[in-house]
Amino acid sequence: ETAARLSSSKTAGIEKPAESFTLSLESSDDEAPEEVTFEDSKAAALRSMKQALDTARREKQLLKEKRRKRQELFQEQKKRKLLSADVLEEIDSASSNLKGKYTVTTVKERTLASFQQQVAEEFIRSRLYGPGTCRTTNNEMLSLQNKKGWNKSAAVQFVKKDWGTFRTSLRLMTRGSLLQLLQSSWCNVSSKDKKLKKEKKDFIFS
Amino acid sequence: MGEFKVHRVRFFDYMPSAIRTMAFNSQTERLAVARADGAVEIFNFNDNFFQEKVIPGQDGRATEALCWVGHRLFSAGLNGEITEYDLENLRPQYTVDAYGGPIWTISSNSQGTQLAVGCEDGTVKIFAILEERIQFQRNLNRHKGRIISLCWHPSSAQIAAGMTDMIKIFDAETGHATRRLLVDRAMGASKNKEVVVWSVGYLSDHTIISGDSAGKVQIWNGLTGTLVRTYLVTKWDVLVLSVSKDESSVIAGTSEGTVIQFQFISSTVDQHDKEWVRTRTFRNHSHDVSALAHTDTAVVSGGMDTQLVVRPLLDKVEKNTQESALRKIAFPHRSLVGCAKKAGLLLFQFPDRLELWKLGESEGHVCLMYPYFVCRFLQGEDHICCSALSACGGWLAYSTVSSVRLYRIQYNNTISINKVGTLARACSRQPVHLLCASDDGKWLATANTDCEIHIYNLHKMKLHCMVPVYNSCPTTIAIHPVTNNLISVHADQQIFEFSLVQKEYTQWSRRLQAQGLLSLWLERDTPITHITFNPKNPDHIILHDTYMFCIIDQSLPFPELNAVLWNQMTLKSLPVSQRIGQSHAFKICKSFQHLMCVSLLEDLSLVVVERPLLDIMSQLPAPVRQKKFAT
Repeated sequence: ETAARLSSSKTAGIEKPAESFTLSLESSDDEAPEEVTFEDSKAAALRSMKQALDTARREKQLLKEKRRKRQELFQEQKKRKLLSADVLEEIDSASSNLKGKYTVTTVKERTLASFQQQVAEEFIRSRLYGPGTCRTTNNEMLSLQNKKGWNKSAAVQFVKKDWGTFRTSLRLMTRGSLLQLLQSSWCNVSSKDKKLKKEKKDFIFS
Repeated sequence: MGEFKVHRVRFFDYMPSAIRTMAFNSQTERLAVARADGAVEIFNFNDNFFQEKVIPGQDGRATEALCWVGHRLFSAGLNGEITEYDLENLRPQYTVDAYGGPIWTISSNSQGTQLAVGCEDGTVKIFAILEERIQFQRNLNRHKGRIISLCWHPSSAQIAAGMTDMIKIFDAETGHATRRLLVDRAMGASKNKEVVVWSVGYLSDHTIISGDSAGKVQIWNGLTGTLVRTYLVTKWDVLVLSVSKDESSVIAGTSEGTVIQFQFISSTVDQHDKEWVRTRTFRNHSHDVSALAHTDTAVVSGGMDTQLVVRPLLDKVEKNTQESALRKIAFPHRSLVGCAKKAGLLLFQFPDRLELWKLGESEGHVCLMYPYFVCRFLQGEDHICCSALSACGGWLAYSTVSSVRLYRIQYNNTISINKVGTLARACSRQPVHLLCASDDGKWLATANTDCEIHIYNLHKMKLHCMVPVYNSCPTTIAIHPVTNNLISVHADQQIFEFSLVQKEYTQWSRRLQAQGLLSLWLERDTPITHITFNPKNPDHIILHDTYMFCIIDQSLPFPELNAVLWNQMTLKSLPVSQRIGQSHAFKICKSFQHLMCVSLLEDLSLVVVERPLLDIMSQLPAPVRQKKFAT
C-alpha cells in the first residue's frame, strides 16, 4: 500500500479550520490480528488458564527468593564488620579475575510493583470473599428472588438449564453440531424464551 | 406495513465492569465513575445523566480512588500511580509514581492546593497541586499498617486516616499523629479478625464518621478523641461513606447492597440537641456497594453489580415527577456493535479485543441462526475506545488512546487480513464522540461533547456547515442514504432532521418540533444509541434504546398528545381497514431486551443483538448470603 496524504485546505468564511489527517503505512511492532477457529479458541482458553497458574507459581517463587536473599543479606551484614578488610582485599584481587565472567542484569522494577499490587488485591479478595465472609452464588440469590417475587417462578437453575456454561459450549462447538443444536432447541433455554418461540418468529408491523 | 425476519443474536458476551469508586463535581454537575478495568466514565447530571465521556481502561491500572480538583480529575490505584486525566482528549495526561506501593485513597484539601494519598507502606503522602502537574511535598509520619482511607478536615489543618483497627488524626502541617481512635472488632467469632476502616468522613465541627468491615458506622468527637455513637448497620462490611456538602447527611454503602442514610437532626421541636440519627435505607443493588456520591438532591451508588443508581431524595425534589424517578444505568450509552449490512457480519467490541461473526442465512420463514466466529483482533495493554466495520465487511477500524488502526479483510475460502495503517491521534479541542459517513461517501458528520455537529464535504475535503447547536448532547447521528438528511437524537430524547444540501432543518423536523414528542417518549430513561434505515422504504427511520426499538414512518402523522404511544398490539387486533385511522408514525416493539444493537440487513432481515441482564448477573462475583424467612 502506498502512503496517501489527505489534507484539507483552509475553509473560507468558517471559523473552525477542518482537521487534516494522514493515512500512512508505518512499520510497527504490534501484532497482526489473529484468525481463530473453534478448536483454536478452546486451545487458547486452556493455554491462558495454564499461563495464569504458571504466573502465580512464578510469583510465589519470586517471593521465596526475595525472602531468602534478604535473610542472606542480614547474615552477610552481621559478618561484614569482622571481615571488612579481608573482604575488600578479596574483592580487589577478584575484580581483575571477574572481567568478562560476570553478567549484569537489571531487575525489572515492574516485577516488584506488580507483586505488591497482587498482595493488595489478595487483601481485598480475602476480606470480601475469603473464609467467614458468608457468600452465596448468583444462582441461589436469583432463585430466592424468583420465589419471593410477585410472579413466583421456579429456581433459576431449573428454569435456565446449563446456566453459564451454555454460552461457553456454544463458542467451542463445531459448526455442524451448532447447526443441529440451533435447529432443534435454540429458544428452549428459559421458560420466557419458550413463550416467545410459540409466537411467530417474524415480526409484523401494523 | 412491514414484515421482518429477525436474527435474534444473544452471543455477544458483553460484561460490564464493576464500579470501584466515584466522585461528583458539584460545580460542573459531572459524575466521574471508575471501573475495575481502569475505565473512567463522565456522566452529565445536567443532561439527563448522559454518559458523555469514556476514557478506556488499561491492564493493571486497578483504580481505587477518584478526586476532582476544580475541573481537573485525578485517580490513584493499586499500581502505585497517581493519574491526571486529559478530559478534552479523553486519555491520561500523565502518571506519577507515589513510591509508596499500592495507593488506596486520594483526597484533596478544600482549597485545591494539596493532594493526600494513602499508601500500602503506611504513609500518607502530600503532593502540591501545580498548574500542569503535581509535585511530591512530604510524608506524614509513617504508620505500621496500610492506609485504607483518608479525609481532610475542611480547614486543611488535619487529616483523618482509616487503617486496620484504628483511625489516626494527623496534623497536616507537622505530620504528627495527634490522636488515635481505636475501633472495636466484631463481636463473637470474628473477634480475632482485624477490623478495617474502609471509609472516613471529617466534618467542620471535628466530628469524624467511620465505616468499617465489622459492619459499623461510628461517630467520633475528633477533638477529644472519644466515641460518640455506634450504629451496627450490617453483618457484612460498610465499604464506603459519603457526606453531603452541607454536612447534614451521610450515606453508607454496604456489602449487602444497601445504602443507609444518617441525618443530623434534632428530636425536639426547638432544634437543639441535634444528633446523628439513622433515617433511610435504600435497597437498589444486588451486590456490594463500593462507591457513593451524595449530591444536593440525590444519593448516587454503584458497586459490584455494575449498575449506576441515582436515587433522588424525595424531600429535595418534587414528588411524582420525572425528577424524582429512580434511575438505573446498566448499559453503556454508545453502541458496542457494528453491523456490515451487505455482508451479514457483526463486530463486537470488548475492552481488550474485537470479535467478528458471520450471521447465518435463512431458509423460508425459519431463521437459521448459525452464526460462526470469523476472527478476533487482540488488543494489548491499552483498551479499545471505539470500532467500526464497513457495510461490505471489507474494512475494519478501531482506536485506542494512542492510535487508530485500519484493516482490510478479504473473504474467499479463507480470510486474509492486512493492516493498512496506523494513524496518530490528532488533538482536538473537544472530544468527538460520534462520527458517521453518508452511503455515497460524500458527507461526513461528527458530533462532540460540546453538543456541536459538524458536516464535512469529503469530495471537496472541507467543512460544509455546522448544525445549529441544541443544548442537549447528541447520542447518535446518521445520514439518510437517499435524502442525505442528517437525523440526530439527543440525550433529552429529542429528534431532529437536518438537510445537508439545504443547510436547514427539514419540514418534517419543524412539524415534529411544533407537535412535540409524547411524554412517554421523552421519559424513557435510556438513550437512543443507533439509527439505521430501510433500503426498500426511504420513509423509515429505525432506532433503538435498551428496552425497545422503533420504526418511525415519516409518511404517517405524528401521534396526538393524548394518543397511545405503544399501539402495535392494539392495531393488530383491529381489522385492516380500521388501522389507518389509529396509525401514527411511531411503531414500537418491546419484545426484545436488553438491546445492544438493532440493524437492518440488505435482505431486509432485522438483526437484534440482545444482552439480557440476567446473563450479566449470572457472571458477577458472589453476593452475600442473606437469610430470608421461609427459604
